[in-house]
Amino acid sequence: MRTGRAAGALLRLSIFNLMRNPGRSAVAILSVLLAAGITFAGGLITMGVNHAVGVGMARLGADLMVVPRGAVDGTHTALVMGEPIAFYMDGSVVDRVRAIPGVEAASPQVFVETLASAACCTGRLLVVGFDPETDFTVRPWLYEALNRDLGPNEVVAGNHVLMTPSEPLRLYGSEYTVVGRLDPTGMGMDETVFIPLTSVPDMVERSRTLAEKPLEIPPGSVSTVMVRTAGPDKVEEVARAIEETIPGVSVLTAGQVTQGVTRNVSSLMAGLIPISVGVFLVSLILLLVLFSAATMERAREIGILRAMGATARQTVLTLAGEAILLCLIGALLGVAIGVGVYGLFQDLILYSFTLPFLWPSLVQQALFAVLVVLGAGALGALAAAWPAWRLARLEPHYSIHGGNT
Amino acid sequence: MIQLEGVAKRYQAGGQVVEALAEYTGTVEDGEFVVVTGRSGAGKSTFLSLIGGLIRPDSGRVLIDGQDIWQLSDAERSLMRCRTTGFVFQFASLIPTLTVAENVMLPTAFLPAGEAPPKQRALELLEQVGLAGYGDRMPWQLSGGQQKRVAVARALLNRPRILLADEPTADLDEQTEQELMALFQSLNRDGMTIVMVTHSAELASLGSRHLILSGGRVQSAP
Ligand SMILES: Nc1ncnc2c1ncn2[C@@H]1O[C@H](COP(=O)(O)OP(=O)(O)O)[C@@H](O)[C@H]1O
Ligand SMILES: [Mg+2]
Repeated sequence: MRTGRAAGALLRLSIFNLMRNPGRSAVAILSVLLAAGITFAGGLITMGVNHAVGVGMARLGADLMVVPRGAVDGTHTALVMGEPIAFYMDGSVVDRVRAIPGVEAASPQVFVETLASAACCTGRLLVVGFDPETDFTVRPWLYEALNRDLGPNEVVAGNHVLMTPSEPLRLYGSEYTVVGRLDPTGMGMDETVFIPLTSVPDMVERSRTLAEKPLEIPPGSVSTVMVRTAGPDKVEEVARAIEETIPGVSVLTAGQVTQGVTRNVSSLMAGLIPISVGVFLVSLILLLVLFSAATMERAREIGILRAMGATARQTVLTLAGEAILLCLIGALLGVAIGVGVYGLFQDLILYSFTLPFLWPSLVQQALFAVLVVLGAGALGALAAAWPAWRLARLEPHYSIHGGNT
Repeated sequence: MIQLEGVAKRYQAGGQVVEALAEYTGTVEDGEFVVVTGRSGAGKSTFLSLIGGLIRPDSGRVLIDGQDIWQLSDAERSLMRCRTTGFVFQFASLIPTLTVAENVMLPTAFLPAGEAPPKQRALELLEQVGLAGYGDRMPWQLSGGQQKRVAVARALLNRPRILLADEPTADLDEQTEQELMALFQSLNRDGMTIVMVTHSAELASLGSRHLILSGGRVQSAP
C-alpha cells in the first residue's frame, strides 16, 4: 500500500516533469516513434506476406505446375500478384505428365488474358479455365463458396475482382454471372476469375462476333498442368522427371513460389532492417543522453524526495517510469503512424518487390503492436536504468548538495 | 534522542582530503533546540546530513532513539526519515510543478496508508506558517520567504519529532527571519527537537544550546 501511494505520487511528478520539458519529451517521443514505426511496418509486411503465402499456397492446392518453357517467371508473377498472362502448349502434355511415376493427379488449366476495353471485358483480369473432370485444386474451395459445380455461363471470382453485384461479368463479349466469391488470399488468385474449361471454346467462338478483338487460343491447347505428387518428398524428383521427359516444358514447384516470395521479402527487409537497427541505436543513444541530462537535472529534487522518505528503489522506479512512459507514448504513436504510412505505400512496396500481402488477423496485429510497444518500454527502461541507478545509489546528501565522491 | 558516537566524515576532492567532521561524539536530547554555527565550509551541512541519515559516516555510529540507522535497510531508514525527521533546506526546495498544498502533502506519499494525515492538516499547517489561502498557488507565485515557510510546513506534515534545518533564514529579510524563528521556538516549546544550522551568530542565542563548527571540529559555545 505504501509503495502504491508513493508510486502514484512519483509517477505524477514524472508526468509533470515531462510536461515541464516539452521539447526534450518531444525529441524522445519522436525518436522512439521512428524506431517503433519502422519496426512495426517491417514486421507487419513480413507477417502479411507470410500469411498471404500460407493461405495462397494452400489455396493453390498443387505441388507443382507444368508450364511452357520460359513461362516460369510469368507464372510466378501471375500467382503472386495476379498479373494476367497467357501462354499455351499442346494438350497432349497432360497425359504425358500423368504417365510420369510419382504423379498422383494432373489437371489442365487454360489462362485467358482479358483486355481493359469496354467492348471486351469488365477489366484486365486473369481468367482461369479449369477442367471439372480432373480438377483437384479449384473445386475444393469452389464447393466451399458455392456447394455445386458451375453452369456454362457461371464464374467464381477472386476477392479483389471489381464489379457491381447486379451486373454480369463481360469477358470477350460474353456475359457471365458471378455465383461465388472467394475468401481473400492476398495472392494472384484474388484477381482471378474461374470458369469451367468447357466454357472456353464457346468464349473463343463468340469473341469473333462479339469482341472488338477476337480471342485467339489454339484449339486443344492448355496453359498449365497442375500436379499433385505422391508426397512432399517426391516433388523435386517428379519435377526433374517431367522436365527431362517432356520437351518444351518447365516446372514451377509450390516450394519455389514460396522461396521466391521469401527471397523478395528478405531483399526488402535487407533494406529495412539496417534502417530499423540504425534508428534503434540512434534512439538508444539519444535517449541515454536525454535521460542522463534529465536525471542530473532532477538530482536535487530526487534528493529532497529521499530526505522526505522516498526509498532508493522508488527513486529508480520514478526515473525509469518517466523514461518508460515517454517510450510507450512514442511507440503507440509509432505503431499508429506505421500502419498509416504502410497503408499509403502498400501498393508501391508490394509491387516493387513482387510480394503478396494479406492483412494478418486483428489479434495478431494487436499482439505484434503490444510486442513493439513493450519493446519500446524496455528500450526506455534500458536507457534510463543506468543514470537512474547511479542517482539512486548516490547518498541523498550528494544529490542535494552536489558532488559525487 | 540523537546520539553520535565517534562519527567522522571525510571528502576527497581532486586528491585532497577534506575533514568535514573529525570523530565527534555527542548527544541531542529530546526537546532540545541546538543551533550550529560556523563559517562556510566548516562542515555544518555535512553534520546535519549525518544526523538525518542522508550520508553515511566513514566511521562511528549515528543512533536515533537508540537505533543505529546504518544498521537498517534503505527502506527502513527511509521510513524512519519519513516518520521522525523533517528537513528544511537553505535553497528553494519546493517542487515547481506542484501547488503549494500538494507540496506540503508530498511527504504523506511515503508513509504507510494508515498513518497518512488528511489534507486538512496541510491547510492547518499553511495557516500556522501564515499562508492560509495560499494552497492553490504555484511555488513561483510566492516570495522567497513564503516559499521557505511552505517548506517548513512540508517538513512538519508527518509530525516529525526532529526538525533539521540548514540555514533556513538565508536569503530572508529581517522580518521574515524573525517570524520563522518565532515559529521554530513555538514548535520547540511544544516539544519538538530542533537542530538548526546558521552562519548568523545572532541567531545562536535562540536555541537551548550552541555548537560551533570549525574545520570539522565541534566545540560547545560557552
Ligand atoms: N561532495 C563533496 N565532495 C568534496 N568535498 C565536499 C563535498 N561536500 C562538502 N565538501 C567539503 O567539505 C567541507 C564541509 O562542507 P559542508 O558540510 O557543506 O560545509 P558548510 O555547510 O558548513 O558550508 C567543505 O570544505 C566542502 O568543500
Ligand atoms: Mg552548508
